Amino acid sequence: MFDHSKRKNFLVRCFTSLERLIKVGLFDCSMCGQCIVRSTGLVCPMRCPKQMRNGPCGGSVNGKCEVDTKKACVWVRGYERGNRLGSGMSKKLDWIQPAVDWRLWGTSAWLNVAQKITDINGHPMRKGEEGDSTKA
Amino acid sequence: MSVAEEASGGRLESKLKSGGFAVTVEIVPPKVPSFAPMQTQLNIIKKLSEVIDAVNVTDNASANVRLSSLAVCKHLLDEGLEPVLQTACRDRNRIAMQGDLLSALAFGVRNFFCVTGDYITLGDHPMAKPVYDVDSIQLLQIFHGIRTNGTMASGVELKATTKSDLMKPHFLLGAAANPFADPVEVRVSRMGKKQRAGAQFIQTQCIFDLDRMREFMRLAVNAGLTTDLHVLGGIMPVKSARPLEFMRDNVPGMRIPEAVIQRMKNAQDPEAEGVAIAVETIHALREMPGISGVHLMTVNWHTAIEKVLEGAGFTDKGTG
Ligand code: SF4
Repeated sequence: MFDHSKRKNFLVRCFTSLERLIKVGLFDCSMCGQCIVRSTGLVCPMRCPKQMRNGPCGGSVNGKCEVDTKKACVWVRGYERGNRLGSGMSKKLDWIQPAVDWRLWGTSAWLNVAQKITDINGHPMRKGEEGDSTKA
Repeated sequence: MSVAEEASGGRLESKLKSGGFAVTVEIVPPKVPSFAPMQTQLNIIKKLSEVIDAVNVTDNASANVRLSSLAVCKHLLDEGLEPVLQTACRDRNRIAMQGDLLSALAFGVRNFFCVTGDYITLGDHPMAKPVYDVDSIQLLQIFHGIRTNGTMASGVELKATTKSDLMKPHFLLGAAANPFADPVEVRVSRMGKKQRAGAQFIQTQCIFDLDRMREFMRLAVNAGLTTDLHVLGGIMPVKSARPLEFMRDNVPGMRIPEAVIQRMKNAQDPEAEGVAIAVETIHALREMPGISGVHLMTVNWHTAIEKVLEGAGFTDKGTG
């Protein structure tokens, strides 16, 4: 949707498709290009209708989403799984995740890490970022 | 480089910083192109301006189209009242929200309140495109960066021209917390995130379940959150049991104990009972460690503002 530069070479396209295939299967991933599932209890926060990257909104009750009360709130699952995965993961849940760089939408998060466009935690490193937001 | 700084904070800020018990009231802007529908409420607020520290203006509340928060805040300034401008991430991206912040500052608004916003399908334009460019915590971070560094989300400095002085506007930042959503520990940690992102005060969702509120505040106080963060408890007086049942069934994140609904149903004079419940809640909040004030939400029952504040002893001298 927001992939501003449509021109990508064949290898990048193949790699991105591979990542998409794996991560859509695993996380129902949206290909935001700045993956933070390693800090969110292995649940993709972009599944949340409000795309909340910093925890559940005030409408999440009994583990259900305010938008569709038949569906689970992704963040309730994220916190449950995160806390089960140990204290390292619980700590990461307390990080403040920076605003999304929408220029990366639809690109490969793995390539973006390799090219230092984001750091390993999925935080954008390019100019014009708030940065310095992981301090717990 | 000299720094141009707007030093004067507002009344809400001084009240909270001096350790006083703050009172704010919510205004939901009209759905028609006129300020007239708000006038009754404004007159009541003006009459009680000794007690009411600030007026919080919602931003397209419940995802319904209304007069903009910015326009109503300007109107309140003209009427001599202190506004709090709410901004919902649902309707605007970071460019528009920062633009509104600068505009409001230029008008003299000194209090800002950041929410993510109820989802778009809950409102009157469910077919519209939801924005959610940033979430409430990221918006707090962006606004906080503007006042501490004089830089916008992009890193661009607040300068009229390259040779002008850097501006670091002074303002108060607030955010919402819902102690009644699940799980309570996550609610406390999210409030902590909001504080780290720059929030100085918190408004809670309407309180009907005092036990849950106590539990939430106990955890918040233990986590050390309330030393720098001022929590205002949400109070909503109701005329009958019906709105309570409606909210229980339709408003996301509300927790209304059956006992409260029964009490309203059995009441001889439901209006008086509704005021009594609100007054009791305020009394309980005054005793609760970590609480710095109350936030009144009266929807359309504006005369309740006076009744509740009177009942809670605010209209007498020496409240603060
Ligand atoms: S309830 Fe959970 S999944 Fe639903 S909008 Fe809120 S945070 Fe997102």
